[in-house]
Amino acid sequence: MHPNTQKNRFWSFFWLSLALFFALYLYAELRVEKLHLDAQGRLHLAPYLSPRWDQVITELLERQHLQLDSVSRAEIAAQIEREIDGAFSPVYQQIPKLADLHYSLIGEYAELSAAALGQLQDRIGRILFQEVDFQPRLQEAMQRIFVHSSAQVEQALGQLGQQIGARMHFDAAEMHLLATALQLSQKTLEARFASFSLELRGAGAAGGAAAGALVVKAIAKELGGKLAGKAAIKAGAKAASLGSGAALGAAAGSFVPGLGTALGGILGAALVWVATDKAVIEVDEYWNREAFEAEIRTLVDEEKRRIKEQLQQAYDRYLAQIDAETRAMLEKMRPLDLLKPP
Amino acid sequence: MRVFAAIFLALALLWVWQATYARTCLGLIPALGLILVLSQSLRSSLLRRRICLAQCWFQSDSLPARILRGRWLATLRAFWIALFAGGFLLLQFPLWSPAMQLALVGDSLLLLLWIVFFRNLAKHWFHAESRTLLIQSWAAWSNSLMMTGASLVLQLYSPIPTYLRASLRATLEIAGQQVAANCSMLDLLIRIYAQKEALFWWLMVQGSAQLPLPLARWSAWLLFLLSGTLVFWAYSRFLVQMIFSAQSSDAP
Repeated sequence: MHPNTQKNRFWSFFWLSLALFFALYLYAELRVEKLHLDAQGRLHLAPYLSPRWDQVITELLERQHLQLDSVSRAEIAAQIEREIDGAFSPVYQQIPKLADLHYSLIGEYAELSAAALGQLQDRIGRILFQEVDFQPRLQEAMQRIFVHSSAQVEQALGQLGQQIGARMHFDAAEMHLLATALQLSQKTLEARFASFSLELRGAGAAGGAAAGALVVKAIAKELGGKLAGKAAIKAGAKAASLGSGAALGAAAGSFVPGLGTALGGILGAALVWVATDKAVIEVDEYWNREAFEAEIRTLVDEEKRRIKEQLQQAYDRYLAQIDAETRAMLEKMRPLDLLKPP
Repeated sequence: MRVFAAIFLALALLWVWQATYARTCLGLIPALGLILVLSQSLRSSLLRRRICLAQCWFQSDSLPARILRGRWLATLRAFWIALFAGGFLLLQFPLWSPAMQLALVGDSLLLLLWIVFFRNLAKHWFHAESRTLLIQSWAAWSNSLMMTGASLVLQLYSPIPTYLRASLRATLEIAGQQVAANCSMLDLLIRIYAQKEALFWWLMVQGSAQLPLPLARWSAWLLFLLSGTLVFWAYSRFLVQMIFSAQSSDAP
């Protein structure tokens, strides 16, 4: 064989082999899928990635990267503080109004009649909460917290996905699949944690109709006590002044003997009654208004703290649930388990 | 130039194998290429030796002599040896660290020096038809023994694998789970090979504590040496064949 022919044959063989190797490498790199979704929407990992996957997930679980980090949790806690404070802010502005009414003659009689009819709580609730649209405000605040926390969760899970993807050398399409499998979107989170989201949005025990009811009840109880106390004070004052009021009225009415004397006596007694009430209310206001407002403020503070605590606990459960679900899903994705028939 | 191209091709084959074996059964294509090259190398040697084997020991018209003279027996033997030794090399190669693989690239140049050395040595001593076969064999053995020595030193100073446990069963299970391939046949092979490596390590590290005699430790080292020699011999023989094919009149 001619040496040139031999040489050409060698180089042909060389380049053909290299081309074959390159094609094979490209096929393995680009065409062999690492992840795929089955008909049920479950993510499957290629078996050859199982050792790496085990290593990555074990590392992540050990380092607890799945949990929302402390910064995110602190942000959610701060958001709860901010939003609930904002929702309660108009309630505090209503306290002087409630005090004004409480320390007025009309308010006093209205409170007495409401107490007699068992409607005192409704009346207080209307002034403190309904007039400032507290319930819708609280619901809106809770909705905002939920949206914010969902974004935090989404971000945390997104970061987790990025960490896994980077370590597993996933490409964009595979990252998308992983993101789908992690169910990062807010919609899927809401769907999966429906009971939680209801509670977190204020439809459950923490908020909604229950919010404010306790404070109203406590204020009504407080007012009831005060009204009874005042009635006792006024009874003594009235007993002392009613006789002289009636006598003065009768004397004034004695221009018309008989009927005039009687009407004058009644009118005099009524004037003394009202004047006594007015005097007692004003004295009461002078001495006790500040303490009364502070007391209501304390009750509102307690209610606000109760709602915050319940909400924080609900969010802790919510985040723990997401954490557990995500961990379980990642564990299940291990191919050693997935290779088993369903 | 062709010699270096042949060395590059041989190394490229091993790297492509490393990059593809876990992902697709098509990774068997480079593996098959290596085994064919290796069996071609061994076949030439065995065909040469079969004449002596048949004539030195048996009468020329006897059945054993006729069988031994036949080309198919040498071909079959060459293929099986290539399959076994080449298989060890292929399964070991991905487990080597990048530093070790780089050392092998340097070793391929050293192998060229061995070939030149034995070519000069054998120039005046042997028949022309035997000379090439002997040079191939000597160069491969010299290189593999040298590399086995080097790998022994590396093994002594390498960190103990993390999968090692007091229990042999646990060690083997963990080691078997640390490798995987999409192709079920390759998956089985690489798991068995990884477990073989784990067994050596277990015997070396835990064997003396678990077994009463130092036998385990020594047998582990012996097995390690034999296994290592086989792998390096297959590597050297494969490279030598590629180099000689590039130099010879026919391309492989």
